[in-house]
Amino acid sequence: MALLFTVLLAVSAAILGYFLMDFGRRDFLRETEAAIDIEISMIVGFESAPDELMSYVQRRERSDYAVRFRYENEAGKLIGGTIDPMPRDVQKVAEGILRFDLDTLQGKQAFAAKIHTFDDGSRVVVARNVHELVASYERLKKLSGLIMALMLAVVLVSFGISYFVVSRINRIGAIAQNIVETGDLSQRLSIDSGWDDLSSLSLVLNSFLDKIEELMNGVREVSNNIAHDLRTPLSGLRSDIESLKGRAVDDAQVDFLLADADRILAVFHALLRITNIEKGKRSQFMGSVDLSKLVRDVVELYEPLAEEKDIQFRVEASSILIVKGDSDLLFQLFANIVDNAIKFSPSGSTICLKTTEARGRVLVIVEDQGPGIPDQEKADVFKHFYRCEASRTTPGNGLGLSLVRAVAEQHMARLTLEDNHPGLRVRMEFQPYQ
Amino acid sequence: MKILIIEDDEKIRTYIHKGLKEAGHTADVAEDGEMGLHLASTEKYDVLIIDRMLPKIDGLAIIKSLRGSGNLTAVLILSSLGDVDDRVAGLRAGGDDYLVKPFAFIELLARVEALGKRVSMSGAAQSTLLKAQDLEMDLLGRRVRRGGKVIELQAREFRLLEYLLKFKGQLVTRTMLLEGVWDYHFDPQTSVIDVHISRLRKKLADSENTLIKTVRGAGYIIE
Repeated sequence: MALLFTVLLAVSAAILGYFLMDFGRRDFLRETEAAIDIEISMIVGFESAPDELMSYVQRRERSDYAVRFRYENEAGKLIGGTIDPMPRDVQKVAEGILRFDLDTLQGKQAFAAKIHTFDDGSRVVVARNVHELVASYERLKKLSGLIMALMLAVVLVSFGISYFVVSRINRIGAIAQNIVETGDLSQRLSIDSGWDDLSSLSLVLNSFLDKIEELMNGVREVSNNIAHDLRTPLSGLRSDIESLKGRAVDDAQVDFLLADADRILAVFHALLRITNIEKGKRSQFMGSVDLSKLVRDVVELYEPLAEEKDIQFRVEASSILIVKGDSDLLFQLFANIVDNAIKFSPSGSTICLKTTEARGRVLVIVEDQGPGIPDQEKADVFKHFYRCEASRTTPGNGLGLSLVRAVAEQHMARLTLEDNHPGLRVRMEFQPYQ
Repeated sequence: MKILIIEDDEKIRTYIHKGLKEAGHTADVAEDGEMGLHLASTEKYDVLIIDRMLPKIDGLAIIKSLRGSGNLTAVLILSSLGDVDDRVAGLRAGGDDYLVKPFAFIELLARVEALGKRVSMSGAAQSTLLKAQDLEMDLLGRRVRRGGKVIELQAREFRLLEYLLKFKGQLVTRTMLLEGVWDYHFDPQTSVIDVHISRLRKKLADSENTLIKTVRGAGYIIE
């Protein structure tokens, strides 16, 4: 393909160059020759009247500076006209056409000429000034040369590029084919440079592969976790039911079994909810929500719970900060964060909630004085079913922060976990309502 | 109460039917939307339990056509779609309450009875003085007395007690309290409601849980 393209380009360049040169030369000759032929046809009419010829020559030379004559006898002696002497350096340009230089008022200039010989042996040299024509012809020749050279350069460069591009596209295709065949998502396209379009395409495709790999790993991890996290309670439930076989059952035992089943259902419900939010299904019921009020409501709901653990809330959320969102989901988001904060805070500590506006964004910060999250686990805590070492013994299903992230992403909010020395600072940036 | 169950899943239909009869209600059943709509518009019911996805006529379409003809019978929507969007769509169509499958029967019963009560209350003039045992709640003066002693309650505690008293003699589940008192629909991960109740009990000097009784695995009741 690359070669074919190059050859086509080269051929068209050659044809263009050839025609430019050829047309230039032919036009230059034809027009001048035609003008000289007209002069000669006039002169032929004066064959038997040398005096009239003389006066014609004088008249023409006076009226048209581009025309010059030399009327000479058989022996080459000048009879009339201004070409004198006949220049020595005479070139034959084409059949019957001569070229020489003559002195003019503007200096030496080029002339094209034809010679008409009368029956008595005397001759008339008819010359026309072709200085301008020659100059433009020279220019045309130079220009055509330049065009040809440029075209040649284009041909070479395009051959290089197309060869380069095609070979790289083939390489990308081969890697993609390999990924499809082996299912190995860890392969990446090689990046040859940082400037060309194909490299940026490769970069995009690589980040595409990153995303797919991350999702695939997520799915794999989640299904592993589901298998693990649900098998334990399900087998517990099963053995509990089994032990009741053939016995009278009291309500307490039934309640116990129901609680088991409800826990399993709750995990499914939470997973389904996260999936629905992550699916990017935009809620049609997004309205304007005052985050400050929402935070105050969450605090009010959780305050008695915190009080039981002797934990204080400090709330700085007085200004009205409106964002676009789903108030139920946002309530869930802050409830999960506050619930976690209470779970992990030591008794006697303070949980601090702040809402502010900074650099055109609405900011919500929740700080606790618990153990915090180690840096290497900060990215993992949002994964489904992930539980930090420290939280293995606390109740929970490992989906709380997954839901937080899903809701934050749905609301295009930026969520970061920072150190509070000691403790965790959850920082959320929302876009204000427009 | 007279209740109509429109549900195509036979297992769930008979489960609800049996439960409601045991709780002392009379119930009719319909297994598809067409039959359900026919019964709902010809007979007089206190509460309709309508599944969202039904053969022949969709659950939401039944509600819309009933509301369109001026029938204001209370409707509880049953659905396996638990999304907030689906819930709001159900309530916008004219449903009064929404319950996601799978559900505990006691939750369904509490909600059905609450719906029935809400309708019967809206007819009569609502009392601004609620009473239970030696507890008195004055909604206009926003005062609570127990045994003649004035009890100071915070705004949310007041609403909590008011909700429980309004459905006196009836089970009120935790999710009903969350929706009715806090106006947010969400899943509390821990038993926040229980803590609020125990705080309220402390203020009401209800140390033996005789005023606000706990119904195990379901919710609370004021007799």
